[in-house]
Amino acid sequence: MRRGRAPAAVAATLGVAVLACGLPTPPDDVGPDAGAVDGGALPLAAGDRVLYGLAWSWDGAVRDGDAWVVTNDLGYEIGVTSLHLATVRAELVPCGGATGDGVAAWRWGPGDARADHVTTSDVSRIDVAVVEDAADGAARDYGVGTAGATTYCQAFVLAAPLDADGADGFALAGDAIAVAGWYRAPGGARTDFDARVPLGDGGLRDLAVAIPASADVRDGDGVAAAVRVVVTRHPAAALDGIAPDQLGDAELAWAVMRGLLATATATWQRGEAG
Amino acid sequence: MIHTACRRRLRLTALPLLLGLAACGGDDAGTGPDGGAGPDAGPTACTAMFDEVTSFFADADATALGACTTAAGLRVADSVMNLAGVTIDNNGATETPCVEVRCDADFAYIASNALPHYDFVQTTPNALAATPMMTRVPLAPQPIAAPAGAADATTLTGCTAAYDAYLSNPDQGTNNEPSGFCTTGATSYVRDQLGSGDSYFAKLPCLGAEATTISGVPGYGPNEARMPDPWGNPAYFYPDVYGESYVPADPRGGAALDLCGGHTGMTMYYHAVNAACFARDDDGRPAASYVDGASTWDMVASLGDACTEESGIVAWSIDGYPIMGPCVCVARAGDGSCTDVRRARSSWTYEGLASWGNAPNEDQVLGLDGDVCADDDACCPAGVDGCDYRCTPVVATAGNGTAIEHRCTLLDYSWCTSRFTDRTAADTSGETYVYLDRCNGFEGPDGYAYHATLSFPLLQGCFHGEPTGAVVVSGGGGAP
Repeated sequence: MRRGRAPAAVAATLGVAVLACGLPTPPDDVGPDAGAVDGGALPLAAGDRVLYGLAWSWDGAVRDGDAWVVTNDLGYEIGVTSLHLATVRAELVPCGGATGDGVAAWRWGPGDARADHVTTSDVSRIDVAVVEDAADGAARDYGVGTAGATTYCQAFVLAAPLDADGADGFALAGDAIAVAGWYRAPGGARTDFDARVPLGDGGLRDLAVAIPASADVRDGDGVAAAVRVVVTRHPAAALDGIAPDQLGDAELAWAVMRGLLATATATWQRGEAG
Repeated sequence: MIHTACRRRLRLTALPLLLGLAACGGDDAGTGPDGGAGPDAGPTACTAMFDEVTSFFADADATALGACTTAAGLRVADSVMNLAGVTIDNNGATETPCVEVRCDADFAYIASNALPHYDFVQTTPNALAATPMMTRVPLAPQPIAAPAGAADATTLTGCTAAYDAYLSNPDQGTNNEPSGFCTTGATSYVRDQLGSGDSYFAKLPCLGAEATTISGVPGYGPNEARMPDPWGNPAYFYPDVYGESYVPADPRGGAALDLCGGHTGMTMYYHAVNAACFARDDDGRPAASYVDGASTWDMVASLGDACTEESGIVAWSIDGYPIMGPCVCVARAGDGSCTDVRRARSSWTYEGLASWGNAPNEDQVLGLDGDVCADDDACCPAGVDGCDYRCTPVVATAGNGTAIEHRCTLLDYSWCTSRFTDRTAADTSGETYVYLDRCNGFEGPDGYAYHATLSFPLLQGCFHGEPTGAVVVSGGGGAP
């Protein structure tokens, strides 16, 4: 498959258009240790509007000059001066849905059949291609989806290679993530890095209740939504377990992306309209 | 078939034990000298599964299982990955894949927990869970002889139903896989009238496992399920090369294979194999990370470039034959060294769904099917979003032979868009490739083997031998 280059504005038309206005400030308590309520099963009705948001939390990092600086669990000091991530898809996952809803045994071979791809996507799925600039910590509206009549337990987001520019003009140029900065191994010298990788990966995160009380949730056009779901990435936590001096550039970028997806949190707040 | 009583017992009693075992760590496992975690290795999470072998195969005898000592058994045992000490990341959790082999007199038993040997690449919301699984591979594969009732391949014209359905409504697929070249029922045989004489094969399951990789993960046929692209080819969402925007960014990328050839629906599944991902080091351990393997991705090169080194085994079919990578040793010297390595080329060419009819409105609906293309836009003049085509490098008919060309490939009806041509008489002596048979196999100096290709039928097109083995997976669910 070969495709033409997609400027961000064009890429956004892959699915629901990116909302024109900025995201309402994400709830303060979306961090991994910030007190979001676990077990946030989210019952929705068919047709409920779901407002997706993307956010970043640099909790655990300190700003030093042009870098967010983290000392990770392996003792590496890592300064991130630029971090751009391509997110292309989000959806809610019904409780017990994509993770299987029962235990069974099969003999697979001639005579037996099993396949069911309908579980790979929920009606709440939106395909919106955006290049986010994480270093500025900005939160943003991502898109509006429509729920099915079910109870949701997880959110799925997908990062993928994208030939598009971010709002800050950064060209991702076919990569899924680009991260630049420096690191210093324990007792070692500072080493600069500029890492990219053109590979995609997804994150499946449990939903938690950010703020139990409902709020007036509206999209950028002022249209009320039943719920706002915010996926927050936590770069400081994502950098744990990474030994940059033992990784090539592509492996380093891949490790950072996987960390971002694995440590992301997904929270929701019921809209008053819902 | 596993008996009903056995299914019930497995569900109620054995599964909790097996699921628990699958979740156990195997970090302290020893390493067999053969590269596989064989009986001489320390216990892994898979070891205790052999005590429960009757939960997987009711007619097996746990007391008869032991080290594989015959040449055939050792070939299986030596080929599997040594996963001792290997852990993978699964969406932030650490998991321990395992694969082990035991043998009895007739079969090799590959026990695994169906996890990939590299960090899980989550291309869909389908989660990945360690799932006990056992594959039985016959040690003495039996080529299919001349079974009574074998259908004549020329009578398998079910694709006309797909053609009619597509022209009637491109958004409405047939309820069942229509081609007739795979089966949803009992083992089914077909006869090919080749230039070299009659040849028989058994159909693959349309939706079931046909093989197990050397990492202990099920292998599937070249079609996806009815949704979202009816019975489509999972490989047509692939990028041409590493670094190109690809599957997950594609709004229609429902299949979403990773660049090693797999996706998930609880367990990992492989519809294709990128052999670079399955390379092993001298100890049989995985030699490549996902990034290492994926970074070699080049579909055109993988289909057409000359080979310099013969491929190893990447999977075992349930008929007892190995599935090897795409570089075929076609001749060996007396010392065993390979003197002629060729690229495996499928004898299935992309002919398009349009080849199955001649309706007046065909050009309106399928006019671009099979056209030479430069990029997806050429196949989707109204835009790629919602378009049923992708521009994909395939094996295409060229004169009396074939060529690797970019064609507009229909995402639907994998079996109906490619067609097999008997090329047993083709002279490839001056070529860098050899043609495979209908099943995607080749009879070489080491015997018969399938060869994984990135063109249809990817792993296998049929069973060359009697599929007397099976893949039994306990627990989970999801989508091949």
